[in-house]
Amino acid sequence: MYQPVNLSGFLCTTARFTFCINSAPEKSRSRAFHGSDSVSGETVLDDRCDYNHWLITMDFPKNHPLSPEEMVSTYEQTCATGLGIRGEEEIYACSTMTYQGFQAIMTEQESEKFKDLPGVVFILSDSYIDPQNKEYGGDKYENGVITHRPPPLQPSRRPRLNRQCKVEEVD
Amino acid sequence: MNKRFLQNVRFAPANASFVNDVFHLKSKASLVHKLSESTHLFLTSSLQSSIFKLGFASDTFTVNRLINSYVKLRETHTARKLFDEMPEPNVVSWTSVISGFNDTGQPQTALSMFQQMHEDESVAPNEFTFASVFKACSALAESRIGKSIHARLEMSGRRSNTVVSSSLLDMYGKCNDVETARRVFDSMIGCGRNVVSWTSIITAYAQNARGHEAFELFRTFNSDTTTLDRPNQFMLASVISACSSLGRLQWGKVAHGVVTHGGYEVNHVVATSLLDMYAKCGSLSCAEKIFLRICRHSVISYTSMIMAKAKHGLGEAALQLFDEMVAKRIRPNYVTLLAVLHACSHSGLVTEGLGYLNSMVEKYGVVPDPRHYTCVVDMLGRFGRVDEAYALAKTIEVGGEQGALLWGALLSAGRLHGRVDIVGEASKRLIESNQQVTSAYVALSNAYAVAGGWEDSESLRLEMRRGGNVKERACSWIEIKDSVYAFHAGDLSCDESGEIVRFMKDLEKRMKERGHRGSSSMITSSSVFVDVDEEAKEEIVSLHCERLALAFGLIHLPEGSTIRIMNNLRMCRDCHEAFKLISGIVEREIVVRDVNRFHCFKDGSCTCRDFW
Repeated sequence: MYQPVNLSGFLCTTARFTFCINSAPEKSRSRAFHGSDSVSGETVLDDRCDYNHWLITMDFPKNHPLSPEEMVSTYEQTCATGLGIRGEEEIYACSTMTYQGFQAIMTEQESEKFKDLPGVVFILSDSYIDPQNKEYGGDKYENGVITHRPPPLQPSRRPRLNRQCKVEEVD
Repeated sequence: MNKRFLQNVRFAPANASFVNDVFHLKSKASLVHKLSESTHLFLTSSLQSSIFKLGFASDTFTVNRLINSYVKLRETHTARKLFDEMPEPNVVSWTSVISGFNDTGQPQTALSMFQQMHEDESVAPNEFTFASVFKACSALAESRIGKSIHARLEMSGRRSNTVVSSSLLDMYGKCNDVETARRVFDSMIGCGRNVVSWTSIITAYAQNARGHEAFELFRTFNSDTTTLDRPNQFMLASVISACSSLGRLQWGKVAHGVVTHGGYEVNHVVATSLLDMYAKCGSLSCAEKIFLRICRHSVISYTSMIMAKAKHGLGEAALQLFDEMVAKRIRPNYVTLLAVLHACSHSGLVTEGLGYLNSMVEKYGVVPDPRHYTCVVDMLGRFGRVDEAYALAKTIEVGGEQGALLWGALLSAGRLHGRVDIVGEASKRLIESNQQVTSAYVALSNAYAVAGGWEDSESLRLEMRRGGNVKERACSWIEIKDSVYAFHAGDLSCDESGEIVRFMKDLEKRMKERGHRGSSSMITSSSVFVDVDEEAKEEIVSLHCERLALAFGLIHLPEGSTIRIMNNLRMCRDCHEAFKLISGIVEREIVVRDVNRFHCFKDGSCTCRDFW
């Protein structure tokens, strides 16, 4: 057996593992992993996703437009299919106008179950749209009772540059 | 009638009924009102004629409105002529014409007019003038001129205006001076930072490869309770493209959530950036969903999708999309053709690829540039036609970074097929032009090693170390929720190493049960080029960083979820084989993005069909 040649950075006898957060001014979080699929002991900041609130968007057939009530009923059924009996109780908000989808409380693991359900398009982790009041947006949903809430405020009008006001073009 | 007054009047088509109205207007106010509403060149010219006839030709206010109307119609030439004839142009006159030149893609002229204005000294620029001028500097990415105008701005005392500051910020961003842009932004606290200013600074970071800061700012903006502003489509597009370049899928999804809440999913710019983000982060199915939901496609959305399919090894599907795009009469550009060539390259469609290269000009009007040739060289090399690749590479005259990519591609091809001669040629060219010197040395050294020339190999390595060239460390990283975990090849360990190693040993046992033989049969393409015994070699390879990342992901990600790993180098054969097996054993989909393309491992096979 030849002696291993000492080639810098080339041979590795044991690998090095570093937990390296790409340089970003993020607040540090505790890294206590206990081998489960959820990260425990994290400090979750208000506006950031806690990965327990999820926004699931759905598609409806264009040739048979559903009424808002039918859409909501579909949301409830889908949620129950994904989370089990009474799954729809986890829904806290939904919308049929600004977007078509519902928001429910579940773990990241449970959100995986929605991947292949019919009509489900995107599964996204929900975050506050109004951090001051800790609101997630959408119409409030509570045991089948829907309270309509206005969509987020439109961005304030750009100050008019007299004649020079032009919409910015993104390259 | 005096001809002079009618010089700008063109004769109306018979059915233009508004002509009659014009000739009844007598008052300045109504003239001006009509002007502001005019969307026809003919109407504006008729109004001009009226203005002159009614004696308002030297009234600054009215002529300003006239100039503005021409500017809106993009008739800058006429606007300029009118301006030149004004006895007393004021700041509004100057600004209208300057911004007119801006809008019609003549920033150089806009800047020279501003210079004239400065030399004239009769009229001082106002906020809008400065804003226009900075926009011109942005378009030209002229930081030197921009800085001197910034100095004038400071002296004029108009800096605390939101609009001016935003365009100043934008200019620094576009001139790649992100630090100064940030200083401008920070100094705007108190004088109205709005969604436009936030968007400008976020875009500046995103486009200068500082995606983390872009995303942090986005979060700060979102959680800012003092503002009523919500993210708009431009901010969202910038943030999403920052996530693309970082490969941060979770962040991209957060942004997607904000997009959904704001109802921006239908916006074309946002949708295209979402498509790009999902594609670059290895979620092709989501990218396809976005693509299918776009109502009106453009060359950008098609190109992104074609490139995504290309990088995921779906060459035929990518080419079909290209045909669909051409059939819809959407004109491909150079990036589209590049995507097409990548599709051919990663899926082994060599004949088709050569066909596209040779017919690009006549069929689509796109002249092949070095990037296209590099892709074809790569394609030929990958497929074993190394001599053809070399012959093609020699015909391309290119230097600098482009040259590095070209010869780097040939270098990889030579390495892959054990062609020491080609590797030698390519390395020489790279070292001579002082580009990618490290990988050139490494490749050359390895090539000597493969050919059994250990001494040559070792002496090259010594030369590398003396020259300070350090091989880029292999690194794999994986994103879990909000954080990224990177694994390097090195020689230290950390808290979880025990658990990871145990997990991997267990996996390897299961792999052996299925007949996996490890690296011994793969000597020539393995990255281990020294004579060690089999056991030690196995131990070395088993701790490659992508495997560590995989083990970590399997431990920490929810069951059944797709595991996404990013690599900074080309995936090695051993790991590729191992991953195929592991995907079958643990019944999970594994997506690996290496330096060239995506590998999607599922049920024991890879979408690259073992051709990468």
